[in-house]
Amino acid sequence: MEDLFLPGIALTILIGIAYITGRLADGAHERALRRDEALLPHQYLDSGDAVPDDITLHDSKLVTGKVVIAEDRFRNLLARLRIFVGGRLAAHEATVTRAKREAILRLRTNAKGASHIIGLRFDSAELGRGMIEVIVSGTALYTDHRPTGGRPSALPDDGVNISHRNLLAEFASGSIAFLLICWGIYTASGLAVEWAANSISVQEEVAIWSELEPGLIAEHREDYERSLPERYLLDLVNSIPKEAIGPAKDYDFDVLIIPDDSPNAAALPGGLMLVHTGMLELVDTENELLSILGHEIGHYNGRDHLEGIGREVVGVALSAMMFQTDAVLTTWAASWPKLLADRDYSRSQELDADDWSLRILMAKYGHVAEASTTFAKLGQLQGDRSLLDYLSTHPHPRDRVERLEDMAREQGLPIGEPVDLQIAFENFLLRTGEIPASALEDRHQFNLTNTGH
Amino acid sequence: MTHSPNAAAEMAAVTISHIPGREITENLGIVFGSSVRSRNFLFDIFAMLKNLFGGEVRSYTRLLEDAQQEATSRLIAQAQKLDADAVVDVHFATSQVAYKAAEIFAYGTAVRLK
Repeated sequence: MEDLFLPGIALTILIGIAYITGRLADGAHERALRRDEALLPHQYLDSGDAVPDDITLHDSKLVTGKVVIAEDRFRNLLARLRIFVGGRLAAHEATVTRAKREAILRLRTNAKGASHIIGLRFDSAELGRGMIEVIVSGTALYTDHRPTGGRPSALPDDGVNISHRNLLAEFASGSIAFLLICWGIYTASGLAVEWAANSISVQEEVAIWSELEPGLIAEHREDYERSLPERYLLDLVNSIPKEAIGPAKDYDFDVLIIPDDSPNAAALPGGLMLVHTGMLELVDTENELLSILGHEIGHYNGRDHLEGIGREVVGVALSAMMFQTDAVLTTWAASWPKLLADRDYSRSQELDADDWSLRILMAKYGHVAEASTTFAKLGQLQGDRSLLDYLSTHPHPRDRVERLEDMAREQGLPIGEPVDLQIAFENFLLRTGEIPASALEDRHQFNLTNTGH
Repeated sequence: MTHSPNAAAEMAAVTISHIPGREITENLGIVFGSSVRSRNFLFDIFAMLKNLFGGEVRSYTRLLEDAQQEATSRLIAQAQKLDADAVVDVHFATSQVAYKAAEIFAYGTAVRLK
């Protein structure tokens, strides 16, 4: 989450500076134009090619006026927001109008002494992005004609060519439209991904991922051999009555323990569950451990792991389509509606998985003791609610504790005596004949987290 | 600011140097009209697809059409401010001024007619 805030603050400051410098530059240019346009004598400007017949021509000369004006980053952002709704770019209209006045001013300065400039042509170049280039060319006629007074033939900002709009108001309305559109797109694509994920069968998923997972397993397991704790965890998963597992019963589950201190677990495609050693250290009873594994099985039931991957892929593809890679700020801004769309979706996934966890505990032990203990511990680690929690993809652990407890109460689920994790593990070792009963005298040797490879 | 199509219909804007059958009495100088527009991003995505298969990109043709019409009506509005009767020697030019936004500008010479 922090990685969303920091670049945003930096970018906002840059855009704020660009807004101020851009407006100062606009104002300065406007004043300079007014002053210089007033200084030049009257000249006839004509986009036609005909030499007037009421003059005596002394000389003629090719004259040009050129100007390149850079748009500031704020205006660039406005243009990028504007493409989501389409229509006029008022901020740029003001600049292109000034650019033409400047080009004509330079043309007339170059044609000093001429009474007419005929055959005027405008052109532009493509020097780079965010540059407004104007080239004006014409033929200066030096004649006996000396115009006095008359209308200034410069082109003042007469209000015709510019849609007068407040830039900040335009920015605000553009941003809101942009964020709403992004949110809509990410939500819609999420629904599409959900549909796609649910239409892939478990067998197909396992077939695809069995090609990819050996790498991860080889990294953590010597000779693909499961460690004792991993075998215990897998045995625990397989001991859950099949009818309680739901659609995920088709998976051939595997459990991989990752040496990582953060208390975490994850469901990977193909039925591979990851459990961090930090999580194993956090739990005290087998019931608590199964509540975690049951939660991950719940994710398999919802096919959440596939949807998560699908949403990432679609998100990246959409951002690449909607904004080019150089649009740092729009890409950053779009990550917020994406976050919100993902958040609602991800939270409902988490709660569904919690429901499965409760169901699995009930099926295995006949009671739901310790169903929410891990969340209570995580809640203590996480501390009080903050703004960041509001945006988090997971509900606050304390809310989940309350919810699980309410559910157990409403359904009248009994609370029984939990099984100590250490004892359960030792019983597993004895049952499978991995160690003789005498070896248990030095109990700590067979701790879940340090007995390993 | 858009201007009523009636105004555009009343005043002649031509690409040649005279109004047939009328005599130019006074040259009021150059006038121009400009329009900077961008199209909706959905059309951009359609256009990108069109880019794969070829063919006319109608949404962008519409963009040019809208911008050209606005530029012309602004040109005429500027000429009306000068009390001109017509605009002759009208030319068009385009440029890309911002990300996915096009500018079309029309310029010509405002004149009085007899």
